[in-house]
Amino acid sequence: MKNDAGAVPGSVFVVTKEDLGEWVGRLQADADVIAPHLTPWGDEEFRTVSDPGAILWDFVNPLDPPKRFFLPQTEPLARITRDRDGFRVEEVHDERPRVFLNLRSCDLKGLLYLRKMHATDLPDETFLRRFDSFTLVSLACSKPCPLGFCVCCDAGPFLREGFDLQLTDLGSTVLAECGSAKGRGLLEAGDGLFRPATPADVERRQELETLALRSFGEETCHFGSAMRRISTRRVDGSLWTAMAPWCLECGGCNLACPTCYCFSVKDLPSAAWEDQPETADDASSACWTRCRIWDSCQYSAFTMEASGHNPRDAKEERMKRRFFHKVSAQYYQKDGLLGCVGCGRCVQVCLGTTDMPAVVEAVRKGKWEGGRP
Amino acid sequence: MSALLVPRVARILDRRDETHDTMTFGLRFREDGEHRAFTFRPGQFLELSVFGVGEAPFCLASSPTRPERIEVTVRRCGQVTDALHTLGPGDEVGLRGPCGNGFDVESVAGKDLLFVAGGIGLPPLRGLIWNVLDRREEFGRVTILYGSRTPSDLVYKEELRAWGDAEGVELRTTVDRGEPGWEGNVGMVPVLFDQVELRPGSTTAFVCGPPIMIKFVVQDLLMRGFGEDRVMSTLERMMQCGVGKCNHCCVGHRYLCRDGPVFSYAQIKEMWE
Amino acid sequence: MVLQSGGEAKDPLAEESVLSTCPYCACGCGLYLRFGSSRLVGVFPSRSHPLSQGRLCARGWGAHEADLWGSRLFRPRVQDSSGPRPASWSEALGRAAQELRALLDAGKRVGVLVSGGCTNEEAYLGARLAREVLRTGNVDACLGPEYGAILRGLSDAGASADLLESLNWIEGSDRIFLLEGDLAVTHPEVALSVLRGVRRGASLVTLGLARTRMSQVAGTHILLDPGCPRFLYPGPLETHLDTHPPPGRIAVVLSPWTPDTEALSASVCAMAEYIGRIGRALGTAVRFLPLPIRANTRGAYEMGAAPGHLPGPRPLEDQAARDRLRSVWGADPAREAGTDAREMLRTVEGLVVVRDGCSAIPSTAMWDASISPTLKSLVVLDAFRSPASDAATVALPIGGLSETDGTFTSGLGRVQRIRAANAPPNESRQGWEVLSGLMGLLGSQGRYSSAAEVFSEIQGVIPAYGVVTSEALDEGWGETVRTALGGGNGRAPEGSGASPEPHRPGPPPAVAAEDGRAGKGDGEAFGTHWLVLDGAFEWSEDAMVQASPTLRRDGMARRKLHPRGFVVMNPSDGSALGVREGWVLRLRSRGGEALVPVSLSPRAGEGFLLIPPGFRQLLSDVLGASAMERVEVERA
Repeated sequence: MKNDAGAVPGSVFVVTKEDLGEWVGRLQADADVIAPHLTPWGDEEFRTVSDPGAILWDFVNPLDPPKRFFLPQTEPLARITRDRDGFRVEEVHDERPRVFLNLRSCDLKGLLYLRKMHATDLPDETFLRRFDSFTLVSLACSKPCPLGFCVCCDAGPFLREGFDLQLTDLGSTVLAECGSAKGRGLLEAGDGLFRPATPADVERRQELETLALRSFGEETCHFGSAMRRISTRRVDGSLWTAMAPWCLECGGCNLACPTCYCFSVKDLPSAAWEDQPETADDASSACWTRCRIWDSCQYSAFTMEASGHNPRDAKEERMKRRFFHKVSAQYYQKDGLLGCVGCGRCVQVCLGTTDMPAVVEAVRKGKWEGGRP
Repeated sequence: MSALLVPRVARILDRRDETHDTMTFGLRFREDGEHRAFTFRPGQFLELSVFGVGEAPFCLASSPTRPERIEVTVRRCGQVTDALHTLGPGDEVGLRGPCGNGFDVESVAGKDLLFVAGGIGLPPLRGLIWNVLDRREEFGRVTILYGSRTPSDLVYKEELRAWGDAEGVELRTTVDRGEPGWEGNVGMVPVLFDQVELRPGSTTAFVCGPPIMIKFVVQDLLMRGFGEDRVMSTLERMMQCGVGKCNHCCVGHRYLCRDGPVFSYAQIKEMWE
Repeated sequence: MVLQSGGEAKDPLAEESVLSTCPYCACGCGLYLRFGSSRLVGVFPSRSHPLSQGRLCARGWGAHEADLWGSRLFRPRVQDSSGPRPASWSEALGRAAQELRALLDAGKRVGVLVSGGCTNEEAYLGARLAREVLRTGNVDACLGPEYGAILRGLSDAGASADLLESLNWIEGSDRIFLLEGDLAVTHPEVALSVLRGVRRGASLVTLGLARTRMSQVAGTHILLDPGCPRFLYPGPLETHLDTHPPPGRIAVVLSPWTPDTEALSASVCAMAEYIGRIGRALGTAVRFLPLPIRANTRGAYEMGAAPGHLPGPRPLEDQAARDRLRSVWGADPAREAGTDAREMLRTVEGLVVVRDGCSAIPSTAMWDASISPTLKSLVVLDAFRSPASDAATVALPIGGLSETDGTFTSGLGRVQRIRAANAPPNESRQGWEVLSGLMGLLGSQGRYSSAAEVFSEIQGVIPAYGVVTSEALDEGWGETVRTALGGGNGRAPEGSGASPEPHRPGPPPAVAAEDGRAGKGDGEAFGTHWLVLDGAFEWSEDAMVQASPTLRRDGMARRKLHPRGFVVMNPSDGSALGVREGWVLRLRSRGGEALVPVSLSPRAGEGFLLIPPGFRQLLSDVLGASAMERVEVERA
């Protein structure tokens, strides 16, 4: 049965699970498809699809956030070479068409946040060209994850907008909500595989969302209350001081967070990104690659100045800074979006006991008891 | 539009020593079109790359009224500045910018201007001073108060003379410690306040220098009746990107490289976190 | 310039990933190396890893930086009369063999120095090179002596059999004793277990020379006292245990707090004896965790890269071990005990160094000519340029730890893989391959075509490693070994014959004094303060950290900000002396004197001056070769 040729945002289609592989295969003809896979050691990770059969459809969200594909941990920005005539600087750009498949709602929201941060004020064209060459397909969470708190952050378990396509697992079929012209393009590639959704399909999808919301239960995180206290300076400094020994400054909370994007800029001595380096040491190298590399505001040297003065020398200052950036009204007003999507990764990677829910609870209660058991 | 974090190539035209560890470089973009298209306000800064070593922010020390060259004054204090001091005329560096908000020159048209600088704080003000002097009739009285640790540490020694000789400009210098041959004032910068007539009501003050010096000078000016939004200074933090993306220079929800580095005291007072 | 717009070419963002082990500390966290076509891009933690469970510390998160950003060795190099020049592999290996052969023939002393950053395969071949080929017992690993000292202390206390097998024991303990430099920085994953234990209600007692991060969550902090016999005055411990008898189990974490091995082993013995006795009296289980510093310090130790024992580790005279080695090596292992790393650096004329870790040793200025004037041949195998490789007569480039296949043995005894993300670049080669080539030229029969073959041989020589199946290594997270001096229930491996070191009762504990602090021991009349190294080592001194742009910033800034170094003094001592932050002190020991600025912090206990190990050289006139000295202090 053919698709309605006028597939528009808002329209809803359904495909059987058996046909998913075929659909992805067609998408691969025009774009690289990135999707969750399982490593040989049982960890979920996002990687480029070679065999559509290896894609995960029912999975725990990878600990590795999707931002890696938009802001690589070591990202080449320009090649700088020196020849007889002087220095030559060549920008690196990436407009490769890609499809990101099976993003969780929180992660999609996180990507939208990243796009906004890089589009406002001075737009980062490098970032935007890469980002806008992606088509983003989210997979709504009918079974919310145990550590997530997306409901507190308006980032799930289902989204109303922002996606190019939102998929929902209905059991033997998958429902697809079209969110944009790009999403429509993916559906058109699935011509003959997708059929319009029936009212029963749509009802089932609504039901799954209601069940998912309900399953978050009584446990709510008190973002609003924490935000008010942090924004109005009503959190006593002694609270951060009490928390500080329970943070081991790993930086994981920033590096695994889908919305953190702090970085440093460094020039890597090398012939070219893909080639083998020619020489060993910087002084004789004739080529460098200007790179953007991930950084964390929890590291002491993040704010260390050339003179050696460090305005955030004490760990509690850095912790206070992190939560101000994530949870303050000032930032919420400035950015228009909350800096946390409730994905729960910081809870998993925390090398101490100072993850987001624990700190929010402490801020609300006004005391620190070593974190949540 | 070039990528936000990628530098354009510029050539060093010349350099001159200011003190034993400070040098002023004259620069020009290698591509003529790029140079002519480059516009800036005093108080803005550049991200300057010494290729293969690193990149660092330096305030623009020249005035947009003299666009044929861009000048930066650099004190040696680390890897990038050490490397920069080994370069000379004809050598190439990378430039990104202009970054930051700069001084709002238009807003002080017709006003009396007070410049107070300590040590390496004079370079950020120099661009503004020349901007004002090049359009002299648009501004009121100009008072320049400058101090450094010793006489050898004074920068722009030749220009100080030129400024002192200019029409409607009062210049006073002082040093913390004298040297043989120094016949000028000895003492920290605030001692100069009593030597000049200050009109707090009609004057905008620009203060740059080491944080401790700024603190004392600003306190003194406020006590003398300067308005909190008429005392301008610069805030500094560690910077990487200079374009409001990397988050190193944040104070509260402000980015010093975008909302600053120039702030009024009224704004600085509100900043916390 | 557009890099990619689609089409056939490979996606530049497409990253592969491979599971490896963090190359930094001995916790042995699992991480994925993420890499593009020939370059590392980053790392990501492994959620499924049984120990780290998705966590990494700052060094783990930056584990890709060293190989990517470091100043690398790419080609073999030899020194000529005209200076260093590139050479082919056959020339360089030939020259190294020739130099060592000449020294051996002339009866000169030679040695092998590996590091805790070497794989088991590299460390084992280093030990074989020493004992089979060079006929010497001079083989050691940088920072290995500290581990040996802790084991010795446990053994002297009769506690070698009571080692904990898993960090869960710590989390579920009622009482945790922690002897440390700064556990939160040296072994963060273990520190997390301690934090979790405290959160569950355990009470923590920290012991050390300084007030550390962990001491901030401790119920009791006991300052070690160099003036006290065995550094540990039982008084405070005794009082603590009397007033808070632990109802449940006890965990004792022993992490190196000083590079002074005598002090380490004495304090460990004292602690283990005392706590062990209490445990027996209360009928409470006590378990000890001796912590080596680097990722493979324990592995290097067990591979026999240490003076005084054979691979196993087995005593030098253990006949069964000697027989095994002879049958595999085709030669009797050298019987002599040999000297440790520090002695070696002062006395040998020929030295083979594998992965220079010695910059992390605070008490050696290794490549200072005045320390080792007799060194005639220096063969360095490394991935990075270093003072050692610059001084080397032969420099042989090997892959970094992201370019190497092999195994590490973590502090808890887990033997797991490190995997190569990319091949060693340019002309560098795998470390085991280079060592094996050198050994072959010197007459060894050992021939290997893969790291796995070396590991097989290790298993033949060290029966305890037999439990590590290739399945566990390749498909899982390795396997825990129980070796005679470390791990598990301490049962001697089957058929080994000899038992571990016989239990020698330690000296009786010091007599309690009134004031709860140590009475002064002999010769303590001199000076007003103890000047001590703040910890056994510092990450900022590590070569891989120095190569990493994100990780090295703290150390670089500190060195720049304090070109004369500083000592840390307690604020109340500071006001008693009338000094403020940054003022200069004159320190005078029996050996000499020095001027140094002071930093005031409660980190230092009263009566102590702490020097960060990175500044050790600045105070060499005062400290000499020791890690702690009495000093007179006055304002300069």
